[in-house]
Amino acid sequence: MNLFKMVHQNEFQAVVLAGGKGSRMTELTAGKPKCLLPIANMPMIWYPLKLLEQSNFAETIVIVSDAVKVDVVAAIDKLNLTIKTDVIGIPDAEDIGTADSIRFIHDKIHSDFVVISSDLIANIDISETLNLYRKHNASITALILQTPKTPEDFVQPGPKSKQKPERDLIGIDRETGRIVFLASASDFEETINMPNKLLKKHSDFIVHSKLLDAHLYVINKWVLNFLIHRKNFNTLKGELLPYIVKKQLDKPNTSMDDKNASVVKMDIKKDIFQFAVEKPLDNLIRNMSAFNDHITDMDDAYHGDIIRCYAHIINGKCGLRANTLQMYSLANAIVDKWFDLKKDEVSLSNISPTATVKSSQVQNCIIDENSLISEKTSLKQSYISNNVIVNPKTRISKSIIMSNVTIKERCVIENCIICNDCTIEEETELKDCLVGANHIVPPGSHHTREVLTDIDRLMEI
Amino acid sequence: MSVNVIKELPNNTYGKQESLKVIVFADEFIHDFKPIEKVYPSILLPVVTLPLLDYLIENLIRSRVQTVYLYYSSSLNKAKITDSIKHFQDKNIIIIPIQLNDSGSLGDALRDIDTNGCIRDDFILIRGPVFANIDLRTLMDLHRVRKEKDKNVVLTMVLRNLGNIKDSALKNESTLVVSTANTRRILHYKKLNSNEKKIKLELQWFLDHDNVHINTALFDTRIYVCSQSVLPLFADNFDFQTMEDFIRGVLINEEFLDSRIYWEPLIYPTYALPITSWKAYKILSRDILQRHCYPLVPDTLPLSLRNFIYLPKIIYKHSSSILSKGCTLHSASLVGEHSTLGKNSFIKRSVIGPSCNIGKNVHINNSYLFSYVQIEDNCEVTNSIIFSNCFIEKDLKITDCIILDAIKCSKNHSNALIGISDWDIEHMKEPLSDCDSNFATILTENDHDIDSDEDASLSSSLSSASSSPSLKDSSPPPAFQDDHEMFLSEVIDSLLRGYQDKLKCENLILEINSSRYAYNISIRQVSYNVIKAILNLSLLHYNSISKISLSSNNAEYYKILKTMLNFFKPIIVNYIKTPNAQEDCLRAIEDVASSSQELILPYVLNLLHFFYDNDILFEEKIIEWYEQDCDDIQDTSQDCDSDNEDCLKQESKKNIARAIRNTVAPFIKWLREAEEDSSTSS
Repeated sequence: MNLFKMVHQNEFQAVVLAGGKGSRMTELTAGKPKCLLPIANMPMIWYPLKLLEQSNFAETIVIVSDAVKVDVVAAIDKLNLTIKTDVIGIPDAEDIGTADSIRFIHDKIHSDFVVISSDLIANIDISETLNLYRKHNASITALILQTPKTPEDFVQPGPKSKQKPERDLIGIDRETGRIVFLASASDFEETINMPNKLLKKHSDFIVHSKLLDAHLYVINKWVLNFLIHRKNFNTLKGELLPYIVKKQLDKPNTSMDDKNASVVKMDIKKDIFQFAVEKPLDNLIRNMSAFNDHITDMDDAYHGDIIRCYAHIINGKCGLRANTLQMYSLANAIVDKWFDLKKDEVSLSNISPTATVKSSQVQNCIIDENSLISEKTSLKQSYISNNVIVNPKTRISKSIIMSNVTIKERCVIENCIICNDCTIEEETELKDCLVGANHIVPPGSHHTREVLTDIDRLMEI
Repeated sequence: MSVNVIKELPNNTYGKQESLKVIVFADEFIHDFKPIEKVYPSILLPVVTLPLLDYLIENLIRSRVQTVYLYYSSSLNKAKITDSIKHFQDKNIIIIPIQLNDSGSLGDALRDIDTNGCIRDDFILIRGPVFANIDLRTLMDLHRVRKEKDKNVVLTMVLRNLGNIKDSALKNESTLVVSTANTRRILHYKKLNSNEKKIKLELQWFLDHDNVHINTALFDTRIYVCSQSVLPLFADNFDFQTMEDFIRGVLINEEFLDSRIYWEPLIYPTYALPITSWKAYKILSRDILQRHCYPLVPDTLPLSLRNFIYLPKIIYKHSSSILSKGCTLHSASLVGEHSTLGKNSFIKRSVIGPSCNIGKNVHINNSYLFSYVQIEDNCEVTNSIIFSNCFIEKDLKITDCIILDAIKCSKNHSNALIGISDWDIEHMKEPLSDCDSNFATILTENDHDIDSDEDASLSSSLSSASSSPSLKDSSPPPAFQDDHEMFLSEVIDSLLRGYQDKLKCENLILEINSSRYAYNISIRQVSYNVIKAILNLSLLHYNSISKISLSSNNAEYYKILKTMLNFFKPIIVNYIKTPNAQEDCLRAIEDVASSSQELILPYVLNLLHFFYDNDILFEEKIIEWYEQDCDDIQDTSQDCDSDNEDCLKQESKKNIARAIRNTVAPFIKWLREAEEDSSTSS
């Protein structure tokens, strides 16, 4: 079995998409690139890299924005991962999407590849997903996860958001596990038009609306070639994937062959089936074998489709995408249940050896390098990053304190996210609040469910 | 998953003593299964020698049902129904046959039942001729369990999963069922129309439910477990005519009516199939022989203590049947009680009913013989259904036919007598029910003159079907006045009144449309009948005039025709819009032309010209019709080389069609030239 778990370097390449700006959590990303936001004191990018490492990938490409490339390289170096990373910066532009990033680095990809988003927080082994991909020689195989249950006492810091979580509608054939329908619920107003052809071809499928598309895709090389050709696709999840899923219904247009006359015209008209070509032997082998993926009708295996999209649904295990403020704080709240987060195996404590902790009341906290926790403080279920100074007579619970934050005397901080380089002055009480980077909270202020930030800085983004 | 549901049933659910009431409708109220209801109520159709009702009652007895209300509509069926349930008298079941007073629909029938008040509890409804071996008590138990969780459940449908309906003979039954995956609550239920490219689904279904199950391979077995609230719902909503209306109405007004519908799958080895068409009949017969519906198979049924011997290769032979020397029972066949097979006869995939007498060297393939059928020596019977008491003379070939009760055949028949032209499912293109109604129209209009039964018109109407059926039977089919004829006469009445009183054509259209809904006529039939009515009306008018003044001649008739056409032009334009309607229009013209040759025939050309000039008929359609007719006639003429009389009839039909073609030839020529002109000029 171990043999199957091996990932040969030549078979799959891995690409981590870490160029995201965190447009749905701008309060946090003002002072730090999204992929370096700490989740349980680990930069977010550690999670996908760890996932790849666990799945026996030896090296990966990491796509980041040019501006933060240096920071990311430095951060990754500190993580002591065995996986080799090749960090590539892409130019900063307003509208550069996931598909654009892949297209930008396409000359580095020579084989089928795995795309993983830097905000995927999940402790899973993807070798099963790869096997599913191999088994059917799929075009795209997507990893689908159960959405995590939000703990009852979970309150998202900051003002109450009315934003409803996005819901994917994923139609999966009951017999073959193929993705037959993929859309986002927000794409529709009241009705969904389903092609009759689809209903006839797949007579029995379930549309899931509570599952999470993990944005981990195993993608065939030909899809990349197609993506290079189709320059108008900006995102993988929003555009490329639904398109490929839809194209499963179409059959190659055979009459294209005899239009050799005008080569120029053909190039413009290039459709997906000029990319989706099977090796000649594949078809022959399938014709000669008794294998069929479905028994309900008399069609050939895979209904004779060359384009095949599969969903690998992992039951029981959860994961999330920390791409919204809510999900980010949820990740911090529950991630310790999924991962064993001890940094070095020797010391059993979650407190870094270089941190100075004088307090006697520290429960379930992680405290990083060079932080100073003064005496007569109480810290519960909080993540304290490096170089944080907590002055005496301060209580902190259920909070995330990023690096270089100074918290003065007699503060009460509960269920807050405090970004890097902040200063919280004396006798401040913060409950369910979010403090933006470099902000100075004046002494004696009381805030509940608020976002405290320098407005000018936010506007820049 | 569904197996688990059965296992999870509470041990003591629906008390065994508690009486379980079942309502069975002997009639379908929907006449899509012609011509069977002219002979039997469709529930008495013999399937593998036994009436369907016997299987049904046997299953009810097995399900420990105490009371069955057997509703039938037509008084004609009374004797047959009471007769057929006699032998259940000593069984542990009470069958109460009830005649419904002229109920036009299932909805009316259920409203009657509600007023009578004999059912005040949950019950099971079996609609029409259904074969099932499912335990109804289990179904009721599942319904009860569901009811405990959801008080508002009104109906549990039993749906059969056909896997994929695309290649199935039952593909016309294809319905889209949208339900919740976990509870199987139906959110949407709709017959799939293959013409629609996109199917609209509501987003809210997907947002309200985590997993939504979309299935198009489910097939309504017409067994429904109903809560007591079903009857009041029918009573409150007068527009619920059929079960489909009910389902649709309840689903649309789910919140308002506070009612929900669930479905239950049939799990192997349970089996159910409603006989809605001859194709379903064939599938059921095959499945019974192949023992898919065990325990309801010929050699195990206790009800008639039939001594069937089960031989290899799916052959059943009754111990009292006599097989002569050299007989071959090839495969998948059954020979009934007291039937005899002559020397060297060959039976394959066929059912020979009780007391049949088969002569020497007879080949029977893929056919179903009911009781007391006599076939003389050297006959060949293929792909046919022969009803009771038929007699087939020697040396005949019967292919693709349905032969009704007590008919004596003395010449060869092929390609459908009544109904099943498309016996072979592979060649089926038009839905069977459509064909049926076409046949019915043809039959009724030619009642007076059976020998000249017209096939040319029919073949044009079925132009898309690969095999063109022809009616060549000498025996009078049972005269029945069906909805189409009623509709036609209604339309003629309306038009006549309109013409005499010079009413506005818009009003006439409204009138026609309302009669259309009253008789439930398909749109194609409407266009056909309207054209026919107009032409017939002109004939009637001419006849009445010619009686008064003897001087009238054909030219007089043409004048009348022309004024009428001009008068009714808005109506014609209204109905003849689509290519299909144009086909119907041409068909109607041809039919009327052949029925009164001397009058209309010379004017077919003018007629076509009129229609063409007014942009009612398009050039392509006319040419298509013109050419296709030739082919059909040539084809059929080759079939009948052996029989003189038949040939004569063929000849006359051919002549008519040929005559029509000849008269219109100049017009076609002109059309073609015009086409060439226009193409060259452009």
